[in-house]
Amino acid sequence: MTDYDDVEILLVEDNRQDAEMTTRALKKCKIVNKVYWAKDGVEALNFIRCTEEFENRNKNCTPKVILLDLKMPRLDGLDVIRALKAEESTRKIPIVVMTSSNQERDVTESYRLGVNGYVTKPVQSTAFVEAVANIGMFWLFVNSTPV
Amino acid sequence: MTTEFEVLTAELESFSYSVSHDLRAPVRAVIGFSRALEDDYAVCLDDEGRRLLTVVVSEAQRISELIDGLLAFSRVGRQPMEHVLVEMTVLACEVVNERASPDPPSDVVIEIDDLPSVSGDHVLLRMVWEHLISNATKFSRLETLPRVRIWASQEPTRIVYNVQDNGVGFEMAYSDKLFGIFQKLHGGDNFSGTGIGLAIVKRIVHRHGGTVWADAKLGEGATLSFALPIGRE
Repeated sequence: MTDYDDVEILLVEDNRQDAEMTTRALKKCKIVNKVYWAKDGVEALNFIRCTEEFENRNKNCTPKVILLDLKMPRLDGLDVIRALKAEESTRKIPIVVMTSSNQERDVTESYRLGVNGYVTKPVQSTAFVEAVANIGMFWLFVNSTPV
Repeated sequence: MTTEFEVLTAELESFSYSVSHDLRAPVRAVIGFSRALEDDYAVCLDDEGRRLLTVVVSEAQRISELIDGLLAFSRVGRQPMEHVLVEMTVLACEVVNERASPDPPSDVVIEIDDLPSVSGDHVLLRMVWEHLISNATKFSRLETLPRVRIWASQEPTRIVYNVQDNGVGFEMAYSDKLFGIFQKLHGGDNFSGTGIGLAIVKRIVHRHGGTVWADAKLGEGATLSFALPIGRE
């Protein structure tokens, strides 16, 4: 078993500050399950597909939810969704978009591609912590996914 | 012409996308980390340190409001318009009735005369009333008997709608600034806001082929008017 096999939340975020705030918020709400932070879409796909630096990761260990930013270098969030939803083995992993964009076209396109949730990151810190906590609680403890 | 317009629209679209994504992120970080500092290290700060931290947060919140204002302004310029017959009396009354609970509660008396209907975009014209009525109540609410009057007059080629208040007014020398983006003629804690509302009003009215103007005297209230053309679609 590698360090990556017990990851329950895959956080895909290019902004270091947003990533830190998200992990802080999860810790604050006592959601201390293992989070892995992928810095862009390429790293996220490598993680899920167990390729490149993750080649020793167990492919059967999938995160319970992917928290995905949209605007990222190399491979953006929409491309990550397209790639994951196109593969039978990764199609069922829940994806929640967490982004600064409240543009209707991003919301529409994300849902068209099959995301499970879309959250605009609140600017206010209390609302931010609350949003992250709600997402974490729901996808880790309330929701069931097919085996 | 169409190509030029499309290029301009696409540029605006990309501008507003960048604003909404790229500018919000650092503001969110400033607010978030200030709060983390407050939560975890407040004991290390004295009263002055804690006061300075609240200033940082409140100024960052202000930046966030300005970004939202800028986006709202950009949106009213781009969103497609749909011309229908708009019942202005109904619209103004709706806006007044829905206004009741927010803002600091006030005893502002609002009178609405019969207003002629006009051809225009229902959603955008509603925003015009929202901003003008909220503006009038904001600047008159500190008066002993705050009062707002809304009326209209029909002219051969246009209808002129007016919103008059008996509030603080302003000096006419500055009236050209009134409808500018982020322009405020009154500062201080009594009159909050970003100064975007009347810029939005002007943009919407211009998109309808109309004009806006104001008449006021410092300390004696203000009348904000807009005229919309009739007899055209």
